[in-house]
Order: sequence, then structure tokens, then C-alpha cells
Amino acid sequence: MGRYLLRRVIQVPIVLWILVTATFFLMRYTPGGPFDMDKQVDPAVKAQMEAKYNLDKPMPVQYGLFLWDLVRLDLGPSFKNKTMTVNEIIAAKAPASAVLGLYAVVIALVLGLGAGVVAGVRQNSVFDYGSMTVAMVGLAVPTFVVGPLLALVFGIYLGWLPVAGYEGMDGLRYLVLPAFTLALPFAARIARLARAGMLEVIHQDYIRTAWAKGLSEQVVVLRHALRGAMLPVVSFLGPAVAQILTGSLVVEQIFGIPGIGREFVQGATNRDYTLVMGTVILFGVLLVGFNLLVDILYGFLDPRIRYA
Amino acid sequence: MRLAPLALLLALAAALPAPAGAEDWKAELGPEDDAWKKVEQTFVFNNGAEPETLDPQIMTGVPEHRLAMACFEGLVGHHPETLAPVPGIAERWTVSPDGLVYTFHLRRSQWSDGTPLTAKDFLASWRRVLEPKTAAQYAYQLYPVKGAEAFNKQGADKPDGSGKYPPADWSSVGVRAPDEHTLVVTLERPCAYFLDLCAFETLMPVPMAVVEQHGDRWTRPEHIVCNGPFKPVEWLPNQRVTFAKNPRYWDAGYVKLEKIVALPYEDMETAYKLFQQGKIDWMDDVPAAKIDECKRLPEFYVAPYFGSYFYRFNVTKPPFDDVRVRRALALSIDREVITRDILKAGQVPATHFVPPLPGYQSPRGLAYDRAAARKLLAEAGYPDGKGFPKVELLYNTLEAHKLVAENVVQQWRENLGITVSLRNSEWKVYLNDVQHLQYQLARAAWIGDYLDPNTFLDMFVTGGGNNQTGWSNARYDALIAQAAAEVDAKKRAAVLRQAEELLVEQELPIIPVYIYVKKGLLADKVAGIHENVRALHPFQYIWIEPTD
Amino acid sequence: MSGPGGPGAAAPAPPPAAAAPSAAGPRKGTSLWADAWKRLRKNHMAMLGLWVVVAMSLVSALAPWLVLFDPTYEENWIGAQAPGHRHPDVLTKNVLEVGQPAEVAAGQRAAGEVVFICDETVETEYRIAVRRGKVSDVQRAEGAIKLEALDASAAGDALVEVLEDGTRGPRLEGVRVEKGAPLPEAFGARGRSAVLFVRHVEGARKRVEYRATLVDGVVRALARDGAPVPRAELSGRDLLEVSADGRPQTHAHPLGTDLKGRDLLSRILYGGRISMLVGIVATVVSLLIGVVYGAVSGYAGGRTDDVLMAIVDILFAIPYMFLVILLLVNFGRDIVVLFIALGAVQWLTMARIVRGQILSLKEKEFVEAARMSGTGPAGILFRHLIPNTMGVVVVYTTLTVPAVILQESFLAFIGLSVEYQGQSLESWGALVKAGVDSLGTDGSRSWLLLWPSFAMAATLFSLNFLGDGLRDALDPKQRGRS
Repeated sequence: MGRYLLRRVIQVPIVLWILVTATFFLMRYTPGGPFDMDKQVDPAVKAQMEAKYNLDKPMPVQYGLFLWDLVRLDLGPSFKNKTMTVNEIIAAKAPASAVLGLYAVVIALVLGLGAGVVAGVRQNSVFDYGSMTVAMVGLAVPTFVVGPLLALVFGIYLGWLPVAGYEGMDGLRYLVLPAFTLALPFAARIARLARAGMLEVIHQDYIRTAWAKGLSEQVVVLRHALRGAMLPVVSFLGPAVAQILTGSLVVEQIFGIPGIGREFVQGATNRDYTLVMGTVILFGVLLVGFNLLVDILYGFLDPRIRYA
Repeated sequence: MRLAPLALLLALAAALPAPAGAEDWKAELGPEDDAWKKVEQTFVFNNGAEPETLDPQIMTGVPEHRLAMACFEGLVGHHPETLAPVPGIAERWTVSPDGLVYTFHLRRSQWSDGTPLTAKDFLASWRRVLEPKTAAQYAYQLYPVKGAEAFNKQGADKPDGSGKYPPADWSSVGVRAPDEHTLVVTLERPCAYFLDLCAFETLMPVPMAVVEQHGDRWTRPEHIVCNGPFKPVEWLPNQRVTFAKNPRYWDAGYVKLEKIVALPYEDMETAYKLFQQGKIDWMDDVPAAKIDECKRLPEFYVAPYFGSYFYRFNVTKPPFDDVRVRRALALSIDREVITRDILKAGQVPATHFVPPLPGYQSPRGLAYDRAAARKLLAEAGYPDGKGFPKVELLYNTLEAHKLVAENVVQQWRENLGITVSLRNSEWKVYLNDVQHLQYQLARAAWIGDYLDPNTFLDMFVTGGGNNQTGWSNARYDALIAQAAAEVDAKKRAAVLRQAEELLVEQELPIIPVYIYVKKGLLADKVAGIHENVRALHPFQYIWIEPTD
Repeated sequence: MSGPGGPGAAAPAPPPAAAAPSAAGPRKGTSLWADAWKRLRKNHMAMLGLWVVVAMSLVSALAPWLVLFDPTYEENWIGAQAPGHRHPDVLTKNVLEVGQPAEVAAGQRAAGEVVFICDETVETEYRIAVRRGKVSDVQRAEGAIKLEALDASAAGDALVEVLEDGTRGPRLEGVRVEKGAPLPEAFGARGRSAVLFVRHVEGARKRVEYRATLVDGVVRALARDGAPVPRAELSGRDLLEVSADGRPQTHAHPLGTDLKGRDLLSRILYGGRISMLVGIVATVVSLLIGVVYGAVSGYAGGRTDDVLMAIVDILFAIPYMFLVILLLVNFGRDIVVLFIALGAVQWLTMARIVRGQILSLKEKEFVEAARMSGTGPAGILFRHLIPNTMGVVVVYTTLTVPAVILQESFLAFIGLSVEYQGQSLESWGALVKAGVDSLGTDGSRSWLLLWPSFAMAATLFSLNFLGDGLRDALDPKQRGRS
């Protein structure tokens, strides 16, 4: 286990290097540059601006400079936001995304696992059909419909919750609608996966043995079956975290939350190379981290998987 | 909503020094009674985007410009109703009879840190704009000044590849400060709109000592020193920028707002919901699909705007190298369908290019005439559209552009029998394709930089950076050059009109579609926002009235 | 899968499904899939889902032959109308010129006599804002031109209020609205703040009849109110009634129209084609790559597994949206690019899930048994391991099709809707997005959100129920139990 983990940890910088290299060149070779505007900039002035940001240098030099800065953990200045460095932007925006994402993950796990496990144990019951129907609504209706409708009902008609904005940790009210909107499709997926996993496990012989031994339902479900049911869920969690981050692009936009998702989208459309690189790196680190975590969890839940 | 009637009284060319008792008009624009003093003077508005910077000389966008007006003031300002130049840091000014020398007399004013603001500050600031290493995108706003263009471009490659621009010396630039409170500006050639430019953010003064000390970060609230009616006190990225009244502003006694909050929401749906919740007082656009609903709100306002929506032809490639084809396409768009049934906000259908301006009358252009269009297309060799090559209309990703493009394509299909497909590109890709003439037909728009037809017409001169159609016409170039040298306003307007005639009646490298409007929602309690064609609303004239 | 007591505590029976394909020989007709089908048929929800999916696919696939309207054809003067709306069947511009073919709607071309009833009244629309009890703003709607007064006191002139649903109020004759004055009493009580739209009708209302005689579609004679005229160009918006040989010519929109007067039913059917196509093709792409990749990785283990999974990690770590957006930006938004882009993203999850399953399956005794009986790695993988992952794969596939349809709708949300050879294709996602945007705060125009969402949700729902049913039916442990 220790050696396996060590190897995975050594992999991390390689994964990140490939990621940043791919992103660097994809971004640079996408048509349009950071200083293209609808009012054509005089070529002389444009050249001055490109010189200021080293964009006039040959591509390998730019790449080298970028890597050197990256090693020193300096993501460079933002091309668009002239008064801040990318490090500062990420430091300023990451908390909002993190809090929103965390909220959403918790909501999705609690709702999804709860509904999925109960539905699995009580297969074909009213609760099973009911919760699975709700889960399907969650899967079938896009976030960009749920969000505005929730805002309309709870914000405009009932006036209970704010429709947009972010006030840090003091204003968790502001995050209720966005977090719920973000969590809904993931809660639905988790519920379905948990139910499927539960059904898989519940018919296994060792569970039947446990039943036969006369153990109470709670004990069987919680101590024996749940671990098995968690497997597909856990394996979904890695990508789910990634998708929650992606999903936050829409949710941050709809609810006006100053997070990384909005920065990424704005960066990509503005060809703010450094900002895009910064957000992608952050994203990559998070993903690699979560995938590693999932692997460890997986091994913990199913000891049969050996780390040879 | 207190929107004063649109009154356009512009006397730009004949800008007179402010008469005695000049401040009377200011009092007239103010509140009638003291009721406003009883309510909190906080104004919250949606600025539409996160500002790139608050540095007036580096900024390029409308949201930044709005904030620059809060914290900086140039030599002159804009009258909030008429947009005529009004005294700013310059108390009064004189213009030499040949229109070449402007002498500004500066008032005794100070920066927000208490240091006096002098003519030297303007010299240093303008030099900063023009220094190549500053890389100010809008440096060309100073090009009317003698020697400014040469100074700015020194050392850069010439576009025709014939080497570099020669070095230039700052002393060759036509700005002088004979004493602390006098600024003398010499122009390259007469410029009818130079005073208007003096109100533009690029020409605003910046505190050079602070700029040098903090570099690009000098506009962060913790560092900034400014000379306008307000001063930024908090800047939370993508969350809000907050301004407080600047007590050291020279006319601080007139400023009524205590606090301004600018929100950065790009999504109009979000802003609209906030407005409905009463969280914001002003948004300067409405969601496109909700225009019917918004128009029925008492808070809705709409006014013509100084911008034009049009389509560009790539005239270098068939079939649009044939002027008959271009005319046929222009003649067969019923623009009323677009403005009345699709956009619905009151946009003005237009067959001319320059938005309505006092002192200038645009030609009529080519009105909708389907029979004439068919005849022209047949003459060009495509009777009933038969044999017309496959063409594509390029537009950038935005719902409103798509709505218009779909309809225009349907009209061409019905009226001319030709099939035009659509290509929808992401913004920067679209810009890239248009600039490199990699298109056949492309959607375009132009918002005027200063109140003069020239800001619309000079873009189509041969090789102009914003021409982007490949169109070149010697007579047109000559007319634009002639207008630039003309001092007499009437004659100048007539020359420019001839140029526009060439553009929209004869040669048609573009198809004008409509003139923009500015529409938005303004809460009942806000007073002092006046309609004007450039939608410039200086904050020092705004206040909050009690709602009863 | 392991029990709590560790590997030895429970002895999982070799899953019969593993042997199913090969074991089909002795008991013909009760193969896994035949058996599954039998069980599936007893699951009513799943069968309902199956039929809905089949019906939706058929209707969508056959849309061009079913639909009466071109989904892109705009009748802007109609605007958004509720389901069931009927209006005269006319073109935007109906041109009748003696001696020329009549440019009229298809249904009228073959007729002998066509009669158009046209409203030729000149009308101009104004917006009147009332603030604090007084008229604060009078503005011509077209061109946003401000006025000091709106005068309809000339003989025959009238003001007609345009009500919120677009219909007209009563005519108010001889009315004058003046800025700064209270609103004329004729308008009734309005409260202190109000906005109203009025049409200024100049002169008496003019209903004019155009009668055209056609021979083989060519106009032979044309009369306006009985008097011959050589030519007439009639705008669709001015036409009140049309009849051909005495039969009224109308169009009906069973599901209403969108903001541009396009038929919503047609748009939904055509949108279904796009969504279904994208969903199915991208899923098949992801399925093929993902299952093989994941299985190989999980079974091979060791260094191969590390390398293969590191590649997946890398691809995962490239933000999906970024990848798709960049691909679409660089290579255009053609539907084929979208298939590849979405499929290429989806297989990652499939690969991980399959690998996870294989990792736990390959430790099982039946695999050991197969290996000892001399089955090669490929045989074990494809005959024993992959079939055993089918339960999860099927469940995940039923999650993938809707997920892809949703992702396509996400792209539509950010403005990257699909195209095919330069024609913009509007999927359900694009329609739903348009529906959300046009939904009024008071719930007006809800049909624009409701029906596309319903079509999309019903299909995704059905796919999910079907998937659940399949899962239950395919579950090997249930085999033979019922």
C-alpha cells in the first residue's frame, strides 16, 4: 500500500506537466489573442502590448518562461485584470467555489446515499419508486432550468432567499439555492448508483448468510451491505467532484457567485492565457488529488484489491 | 424615474469658454428641495462586467469607463444632458482662430491625498499614455496632438514592412505648461472633436508618483489617489467595487451621493432578478427574451444610442465583389420586421450608417425594395437566385445576433431565392476571421468614440484597421481627408454626407441594419440620470430621492 | 465481492452469467438475454419506458415526413402564441401580380380564386408611462422617439390599448394624452405608476378585400374591393382572413409558437432528432472505448494498469468543458465533432467503472477456475469478466445517454449549439434554454419551457426506467429465481 501510494504521488507532477503542456499549446493555437478587440488595435500598439507580456518571443521561449515561473509557483500576471496576478485571483476566488462545491457534495451525498440505500433495501416499495422518480427528475432537467426556477420561486415569489451574490462565510443564505441546484443531478446519480450497488450486494451469499444468522436489518445493511453499495458510488465520486467543479460554471453564472468557474470561462473567452493556465492547474491538482483519494477509499472498502 | 427629455444642443466645434455664472446650469440639474437629505445616498448599479482596471489610461471597455468617470476628471467633463463639454479641471479655455492651439486654464484643485493638481500632472500623464512601453491601447485618442503619433509609434515596425518608425523626442509633442495652471496644446491639424476627447478617460490625469511607486497595481483601493468626485474604497473581484465620496474633489459640495456600489453581473437574467428584489437601482440593459415584460415596467427606459448595427461584405471575393449583388442584398431586407417584431426594444431601422446627430443629416440609403433587388440580382447573372454560389453569414455567439441573422437569411431566401447559411463563432475567433477577411458576410457593430460622424465614417478608408471589408475607394478616401482639413462645420458635414452616400447608396461594402438603443431599468428613487445618445451618466449629478 | 470477514469468510458462487454465453448450448432458448427479456416484460415501468423511447425515436426520426411546418420558418408578426393558436395561412409577403405566378402559401396556389381580407389601417404603437399619477413619458415604440403629446382627437382617429396578452382593448376615440397631465379618464383607473401600450389608429378602420383569379398558379385577374388593380404586395401581419375557393385557409399550432412565430411542435420533433442522435452516437463511442479500455486496464493490473489509468487521470484532469469548448472552437461545431468530443469525454468514466468492477471480479474463484482450466487472458476477459460487468455497464449506459443529451444542452446554454454543414441545429437543450429565457416572471409563455422540457424529460425518464428494468432483468443472481 505504501509503495503504491508513493508511486501515485510521484505520478502527480508528471500528470500535471502533461496537462499544463497540452493546455498551453491548445490555448496558444486557438485563434484570436488576448489583445484582439472589435476596435482594431494599431499594429504598433499591439506589438508594444505583446512585448509587455512576452508574447513576442518564440513559442518555445514562452513555454520555457512559463514552466520556470510555474516551478516557482508564480502563475504570472492576468492579461485581462491588469491589477492582479493570477495567484491573487485564484486566492480571492477559490474560497467561493470551494464553499459552494463542498456544500453541494455534502447535499448530494446525504440525499443520494440516503435515498439510494433505502430504495435498494426496500426494492419495489413506494419509497423505491418515489425516490427513484425524483432522482430521475434530477437527472432529466438541466441545471440551467432548475436554477432559474428555484430563484423565481424562492427568491422572487416567496422572497425567502437571495437570488444572486456572495457574502463569504457570513452569508451562507446566499449559497442555499446555488448549492442545491448544483447538487441535484449528483444526488440523483448517487442515489441510482447506491441503489444498484445495494441490490448487487444484497443478493450475495454472505449477506444472505447474515440474514440467516438472524442479524437485524440495521446491522446487515449498515455493517455489511453498505460497504459494497459504496463501491460504485466511490468510483463515481472522483469524476463527480470534477463535474461539480464544471457544473459550477453554470451555477456561478446564474447566481452571480465570484468563483473559479466564472474565471475560467471568462479567461477562455478573453484568451487570458495565464488565468486559464492557473485555473486549469488548480482544477488538475484537485482532480488528481481526488482520484488518489478515491483509490485509497476503494482499497479500504474492498480489501480484496491489492496494491501489488 | 427622472429622465429629462432628450435635448441635443451640441456646439462642439464652436466650443465657447464657459460664460460667467457658469455654475447655474448645475444648480438647475440638481434637486428641487432638500427631501433627498433625509434618505441614505447610496446608489447600487449593475456595471455588467468585472473591471479590468481603474487606470483611465489603460482601460478600454465601457464598464471601466463608467468607473473612471466616478474617480477621475479630465480637463473638461460632459454635460449630463447635452454632452457638451463643460469645465472640469480646466476652468475655461480658448481656441485659436485656425483651430490649432487650445489654451486651458486650470482651476486650483487637488488630488485625493491633498497634493495640488497642476498642468505638470497633465504633461506627465499624457506622456505616460504615449510612451511605447506603457502600451496604452487607446493612445490614438491623443493622435490629434502635434507629434503625438510619431512619439507613440517610435521604434515600432511599419505596417508596410519598410523598417521601423524613427525615434522621436518628447519635446516634439505639442503640449506645454507655461505655468502651473495653464496648459497649451497644439494640434497636428484642426480637430472638430478635440474638446470631446479631452473628456475621454485616456486623457484624464493620473498621479504619476503613485503610479511609479505601485506599478500596475496603483488603482487598487489601498493605493489609489484620484481627482474625481468619488474614490474607490473596496474592490472584491467579481463581487463588487465600492466608492465613497471624495471630500477633496473641487466641487465636492455639489456631489450628493455618499456611496456607489458597482456590481459585475454579466448575466442580465441575474441582474434582472436582483432588480426585481430591489437589490439594485439601475441596470443598463434587460434580458433580450424578456423585453416584452420589461417594457411594461414603469422603471423601463429606452433612448437612441450612438451605435450602428450592420453587416460587412468581403468585397474581395465573388459574389460580393459585384456591387449589384451587394445592393440587391441590401435592398431586400425589410428592417422593420427586425426592429418591430424581433428586437422590440425600439431600435431604429436604418438604411444609413451614422446614427442621428445634431448638425449632420445622413443620406436616405437604400430602402426596402424587393422588385429592384431581384432586378439587380438578375443583372448580376443570378435571376431568381439561380446559380448563386454558396455563401455564409458569420456572426459571433450571442442570442440577439442569431435572432437577427436567422431572419435576414429567411428574407433573402424569400425575396431573392438565394440560400445563405449561418456560421456562429466564438468572439475571438470571429474577430480573427473578420480581421483577416476570412468570411463572406459578417455581422458587425460600431459604437462611436466621440460625437462626430467621422468616428463612423473614417473606418472605411483604404487600409483602415477597422475597414475589414477589403473595400477601397479613392473618392471616399479623398472626401474623408477633405473633411478632416475643413474647419467650417457646415461644409464639413456636407463633405462627410457625400462620403456616407458613397457608402450606403452606391458602393455598399456594408448593409446598415439598425441604430442601437440603450434600454434599461432605473428605480423610481434615482434622480439625475439624463438620457443622452452616448448613455454617459456622470455620478456627481445623481442622487436618491425619498420614495413615498 | 468481499464480505466483512475478509476473503475467506464468504464463498461467492461463480456467477452464472459468466458462463451464460458459452452455456447457451445445452439449454437453448433460455439464454441470459431471452430470460432477461421475459423478466423485462413483467416490469411495467420498464416496458412503458421502452415504448416511450421507441415512440420518441420513431417520431423524431420521421419528423421530416410527419411535420407540416418548417421548424425554422419565422412568422414574426404572430410572435409567441399559446398552444392551439390558429391564424390565416399566409406568407410573410404575399405578392399578386397580374400575369405572374402568385407568391402565396402552398395551399392557395392550386385554387381558382383566392380572397384576402386585409387590414390596411395605419397604426403606430406608443408606450405611455405614468409616474406619480401623471403621464411622465410618451414614446413611439418604433425608434424610441419621445413625444410631448399623443393626439388622437382628429376625426376617425382612435387609440386602442394593447393588452398584456397582445389582444386589443376597446377603441378610445377623440383622446389626447399629454405629458405632465393625468391620463385621460377613458383609460380607467391605473394607479399611481403604470405603463400602457396603445396603438394610434389613423382614420377609420379599413378592411379591404383582394380577390385574385388564378389559372395554374398564375394571376389572371386581381381586384381590390371590386376594382381591378395590377399588383398587390400583402404583408402577412395585415391579413385577417384568407380563403381559397371559398374554403378558409388557416394554420393551427397544436403546441403554440415561439417568440419568432415558429411552430413549437415541429421544433420539438426536429430537436428530438438532434438530441437523440447526439445521445446515442456519443454513448456508443464511449461504450466501445470505455469498456475495452477499463477491462484491459483492470485485468492486466500492475504497470499497464498504472499507465492506462494515468492516461485516464490526465484526460480527466483536463477540464471537460475546456476540452469540448476548445475542440468546438478549433474544429467548428459540426455534429461529427460533437459526437467525438462528447464521446471522447464520456468513455473515461465508463473505463473507470469497468476497471473497478474487474479489479474486484478478477480475484474471484471462478476466474481462477477458468484460468486453471486453460482459458487464455483474452478468453477470461471477454467471456468471463466483461459479461459480468454488464449489469453496471447497462446501468451506466442508461445514465450516459441522458447525460450526453444534458451535456449537449449545456453547450447550447453557453451558445455552442450544434451545426451540420453550416445549418444551425436546435436540439431539445437549445429549445429548453430558449424556454427558460422567455418564461415571464408571472409565468407567461410557459408552454415554451413546458413542452420541450416535457419531451426531453419524458425521453430521459423512459431511458432511465428502461435501464433500471434491464438491470433487474439482467441481474444474474436473480436468474432462475422467479
